[in-house]
This record gives sequence, C-alpha cells and structure tokens, in this order.
Amino acid sequence: MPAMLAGLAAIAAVLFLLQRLRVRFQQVDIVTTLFWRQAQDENRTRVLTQRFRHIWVYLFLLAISFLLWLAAAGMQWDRQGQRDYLLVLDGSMAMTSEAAWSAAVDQLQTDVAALPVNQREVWLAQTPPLLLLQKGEHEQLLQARLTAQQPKLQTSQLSAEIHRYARRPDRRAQTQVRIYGRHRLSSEAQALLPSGLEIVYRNEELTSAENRGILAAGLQEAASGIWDRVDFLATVHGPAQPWTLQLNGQASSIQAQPTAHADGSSSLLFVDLPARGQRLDFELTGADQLQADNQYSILLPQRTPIPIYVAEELQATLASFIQADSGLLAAPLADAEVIIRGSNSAASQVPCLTLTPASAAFAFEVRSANYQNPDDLLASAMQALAMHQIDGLALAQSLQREVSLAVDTNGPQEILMWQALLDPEHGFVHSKAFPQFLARAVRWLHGDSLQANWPPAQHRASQPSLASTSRSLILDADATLRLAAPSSASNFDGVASESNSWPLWTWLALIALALLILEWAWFQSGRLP
Amino acid sequence: MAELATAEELIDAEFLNSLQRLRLVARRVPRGGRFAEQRSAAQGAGIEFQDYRPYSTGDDLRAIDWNIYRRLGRVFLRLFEEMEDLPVYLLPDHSQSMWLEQPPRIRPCLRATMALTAIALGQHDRVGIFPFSSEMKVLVRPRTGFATLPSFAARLQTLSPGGQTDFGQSLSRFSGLRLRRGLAVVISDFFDPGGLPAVLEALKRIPHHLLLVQLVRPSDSSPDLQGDLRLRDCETGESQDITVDVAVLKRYQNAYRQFQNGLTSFAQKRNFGLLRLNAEQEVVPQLASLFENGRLEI
Repeated sequence: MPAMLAGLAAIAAVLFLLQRLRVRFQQVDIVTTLFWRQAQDENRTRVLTQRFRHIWVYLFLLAISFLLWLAAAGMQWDRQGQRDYLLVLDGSMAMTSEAAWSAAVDQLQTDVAALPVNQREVWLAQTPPLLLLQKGEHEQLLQARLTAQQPKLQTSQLSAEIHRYARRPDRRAQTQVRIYGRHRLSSEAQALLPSGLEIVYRNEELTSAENRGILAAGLQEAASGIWDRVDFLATVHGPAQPWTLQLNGQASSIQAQPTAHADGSSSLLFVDLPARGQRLDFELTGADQLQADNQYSILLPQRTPIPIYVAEELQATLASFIQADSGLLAAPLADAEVIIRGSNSAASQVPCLTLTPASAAFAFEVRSANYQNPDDLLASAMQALAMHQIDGLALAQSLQREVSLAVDTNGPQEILMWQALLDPEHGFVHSKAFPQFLARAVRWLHGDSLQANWPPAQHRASQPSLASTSRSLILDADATLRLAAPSSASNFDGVASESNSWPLWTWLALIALALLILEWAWFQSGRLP
Repeated sequence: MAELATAEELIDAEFLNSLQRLRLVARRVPRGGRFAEQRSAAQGAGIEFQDYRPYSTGDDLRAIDWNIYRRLGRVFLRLFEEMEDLPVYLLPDHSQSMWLEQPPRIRPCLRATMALTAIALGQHDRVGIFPFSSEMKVLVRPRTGFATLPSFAARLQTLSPGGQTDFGQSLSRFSGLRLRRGLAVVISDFFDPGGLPAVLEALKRIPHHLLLVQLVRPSDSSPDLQGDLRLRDCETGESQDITVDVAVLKRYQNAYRQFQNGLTSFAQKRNFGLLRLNAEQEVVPQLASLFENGRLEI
C-alpha cells in the first residue's frame, strides 16, 4: 500500500510538472495569418497527401511512445516471464530427519509464495510421485496438502521425477528446477538433462551436514568353507566404529575385521556367523544427521545337515567324506533323505546316488523328471556337480575306456556312476574333485544348490568385497554420500541477484523519461521542429 | 479599433497645397468623356492637329482644309485631338485589417484617396469612390469639380470598419458597373484570406487601367513577434498556434517576399502602376516621390 501511494504521488508530481511546462500561447491579433500559416511547418505535416516530413522526429517520438507503452504494460525480463519453475520436494529416506524435513518445507513455502502463480508447479518426489500444487493453484493449498505427507524410507526419486518432467511435451523450454532436500543429482544425471533445465538446490545447509551411513551390506559363503556358516560384510561411509551387531535381538560377541579404504569409507567383515535362520541387525551408533542409513537387517540362511544313508559296502570308502562335510549327517535308512547305494540295492523313493557296475554304458548318468529338455538337464548337472573339476582324461586312461556323462529326463531324481571309479587305483577318490563331487551330488539330489565356487578358498579374501557376496542390498548410497558431501557454491546466487535487480518496465520508463528530457531540451533550443 | 480622421484632417490647406503641383497624366483616355485636360483617342475640334482624312457627307465644313483643296483640288478634313477628362475610380479598402494596429492603415488609405481625388479633380477629371471589404459599395458616384472635394471628404469620413476582405466578390461587382473606361486605383493592404491568387484573379477582371496602391508597414516584412503565440486573424477570427523562432521567422519572411514579388510581377506584366506607401509615414511626400517631375504617367 505505501508503495502504491508513493507511485500515485510520483505520477501526480510528474503530471504537475508537465502541466507547468505546457506551452502557453499568448494571443495576438494580427492583420492576417496568411503568411504564418505558410511558415508553420506543422501545418504541412497535418496534410496527409503531402510529403512525409521530419522522419527522425517521428521515429524519436515513436521510440518514446513505445517505451512508455511497454513500461505501462508491465513488460518483464524474458528470464522471469517466459520460464516455468518446477519445485521438487525430496520425500525420500534422506529427509526422515524432522529438522531437515521442516527446513525443506519452510523454504518450499517461502518460494511458492514468491513465484508467479501460473509458472510454478510443486511435486513431492516419492514412489509414486505426488503433485502437491498445480499451476494457478493458491499457495495455501500447499500447506494443507503437506500436512498429510511425510518422508518415506525409500530411495530418492528426485532424478526420476526431474527426468520425467524433462520428457513432458507440455513443459516450457526454459524451466528452473528447484530442489528442496538433501539429495543432489549426480553429474551423470545432470548431463542427461536438456539444456533448458536449470537445477537449483534450495537447502544447501542440509547437504553440508555430517553423516555416517551404511553404503552396502550383504552375506556371502563363509570363507572358511564351513557349510552352515556365512560371512557378513558391510561397507560404511566414514569411520567403522562404533557399531552393534545383534542376532535375534541378542548382542553378539562376534568381532569384526575392519578395513579402511582410501575414499574415506571402511568395511566390516564378520566371519563364520552360524546360518540358523536368525535375524541379523547391524547398526552404526553415535550422533548422526541421518538415522535411516545407520541400520541394516537381514535374515541369515537356514542351513541344517542333510540326513544321508550310505550302504554298508560303501561305508569304508565314503564314511570319512561324509564325516568331513558339516552339511551331511549319517542317518539310518528310514530317516535318510539321500541314499548312497550299490547297484543291487532295492528301489527307493528317496533320491539316490547309485554306484553301477562297469557294464553300464556311461560313467555318469543324471536322471531327473524336473527337466523337460535334456540339454537343460545336462547344463544344470555340469554346473551343479562341478563336473569341470573332474579330470576325465586321467580317468579314461586309467579305466581304459571312455568316461562320459548322460542325462535322462525320465525317472526319479538319481545319479548313477561306475562303482569302479571308487577304486583307489584310478585315483578319483583321492583327487580334490571327489569331495566336491560328492558334496554337490548329495545336495543336488536333496534339492539344494551350491555356488559354483563353493567352497571358498581359504584366505582368499584379504580385501573383502561386496561383489562376492551372495546377497547384498545396496541402500540409498546417493543419499548417504551426498549428505556428507561438502557444500558447493550455489547456482541460486544468480537467481537471487536477478530478483533484486530492477524490473524491465522500470528501465523502460527511465529510458523514456530520459528521452523526454532530451526532447524538451531540443525543442527549447529550436533543434526539434 | 482606430477612429477615423476627421474631414478637416483629410483636406487641410497644407495638404491641398502640397498636391497642387502633382498631376496624373494619362497616355490616352478613351473617347466619350467631357472636355478636359487629358489627351483622348477622339478626334475632333481640339487644339492639337492630329491627321487628315477625305471629306464625307455630313462632315463639318469648318474642318475642311481649303489650302489643300486649292493645291490639289481634293477635299480633306483636318482632324484635331480631343482633350477629354479621365475617369478615376478610387477603391479604398476598409476591411477589418485596415483598422487594426497603430496607426491604422485606414488613415493613410483615406489620405491617399483624398490626395488622388484632389489631384484628379484639380485637373478636371471625373472621380468616383467605391470602397470595398467583403463587398463593394458606391460611396461617391463619378463626378467632377474641385469644389466637390469637401463632399468627398465628408463621405469618406462616414466609412466604418467593413468585414473580411474579399477581392473576388468586391471587384467582380465593381467590374459589373459598366463605367467608362478609366483609371481604377485600388488602395489596400491586399491581404485577402484567399492569398495572392485570389487577389490577382480579381484584379484581372477589372476593365480599367489599374493603379495599385499598397499600404505597407515595416512590421509586415519583419514582425516583432517571438515565442509561443496564438495568432488570431482579425478578419476571419481563425487562430494559429505557433512558436516563433528564427527558423519560423525566416520562413514567414520568405512567404511575405513571395507575396510582394507576385504582386509586383503582376503589375509589371500588365503595365499597371504599383505604389507602396508606408502606412507609418506621411502620405503626400511618399506620393510626391512617385510623381516624377510632378507627373505620374499612367
């Protein structure tokens, strides 16, 4: 209101001055105006049919008139008038801190009130994305809609939301995207954006906060090779200590092997955790700006020994192997879930590893009704039984016959092999491939599977890596890393300075005023007709 | 509005004395007039021998040149130049513009009219006065006799400010009066709203020899005006807003010069007389300076 009244007073003052400066003619009676009419040039310009005169004066006055007209029309700079504003509020886990959420919402509401109503649009970046305020809607609607919204424990959808907007056919070429929250777009994501999109971070103070979080975590087969044990690996941004580890809610005394990395992160390796199906809760403790990335929970696998029955005639050869495998448990025939037997044994409904006489056509034969295609069964058997580790050439030379593998998609789950292969003279039972073959064969028959590289080689992982984990869960690492990233110079400075500069219409009015003064000076000096 | 001069001011003794040595001399007046001092185209019983012609029936026997008859045996008549009077028609302008300014132009206009009247009457010529403004009226019908001079002055004194100058209307009516051809003297500022073309067109229609007496003043060519002015035409009432500066003044002077030159050129082409009298100075001395050796041959 004061500005409006001041403007009215200024206009009144200008009009008063102009009125004072108006030409006041002194009336003089003369005998004839005949010659004065001829002398006055303006009389001639008022005749349409005569030659157009004083083109420069006309252009000068035209310029003044246009400037005044444009100023009166409230013309604005193109950067403000011809671009949209996309305001995106991050609703991801990075905003679960109450202080961060409040700061972002406050900044968002302040900006919404300051921007042109028909040029701004507000979205909440979550899954699914939520349109908080359309173009033209009143800012008070935003406040009402925000009360029902909270950040969710999910990864940030900012990049997806901005790229979805960039693909919208109805968007303006020039759009300023204002991001409210801690998340920052990666340089790769920014590089994919169209050139007309300008990214502005409005909560730089949040991104500069200290944070320590779990970047990745997962389980892998125990490096010790123990069947019912697993290793747990966690990668932490920042120092590894302090932490807590609980199994089924009970604090565990298992110690971790910490490793610091050059990029500031560190790894914690927990070895030989008993795989009994417990719930593992790993948590980074200590003061932190973001709690959501400090916790990680996972269920350990349930690994119980497989009851196995070995026929009497084979006990002498195979008992030591069965005992050495912690995943196998010798059991009576009635309790067995896998049977190792000779060729003369009676038929059984339990999956069997059957040792066949030398008259059998194939050294190895794999039968399973679970496969329709023999090729699929063959490929599965080759991997599951680690057949590539068997030195088939040496066996063939020793046996003086071909050693081959056959598959049969009919019949019960069964593996047949020559019993002669167990003779020590052929060396198969003493090779390193046999324990693997036996352990894999039993587990394949039981319906389990082992990794191709199981068991892990001892002392293999001097630098534990998540790439080797059997189950790894990548958290919102971007949120953790960008939250801890140092604050960079905001590119919002340019926008702020723009809003402080005079609007275009003011410049137009000032130029018009200067030209009017110049016109007055010229007119007084007689240089302007 | 200026007041008109009294009759005494118009014909005071000094004024009349100063006019006595001035004469209007016509090269030849058309026949049909009464006996006077101007050479006429009529041949008859005059003093100056002009020509011979064979006698024809009805001719005056007194004009036969008997000496030629005796020498040649043939009858010839001696022809003499008739001396007749010159009709002088004075047309003073009494429009609004003649009454404006100080001193007004109407005074030198009437003084000039009276001067020419006195000169013409003094040489026995016939004088009529036809003042005009928006239209022409007959103020004094053509008459002779120096003794009538006071009556001319008295009639001129009755003139009042007329309307808007209209040369076309006024002179058209004057041309339709079927007057004997003579000398028409237009005494005016020649400021017609129609401009010079309207003035010249009207003058061309007058069937008399013309003497144009233009009343001018220095301010006509160099007006003492400056600044933002609303110029009001005293006759038409039209206003003209103008800012008078050097450039405008120069253009004004160009326009006025063209007007004067056009009037001069018209008079020269048609062999008419053109006298320019400064309205701010005494009339008779200016008139006298135009009469070479006291004669103005027209």
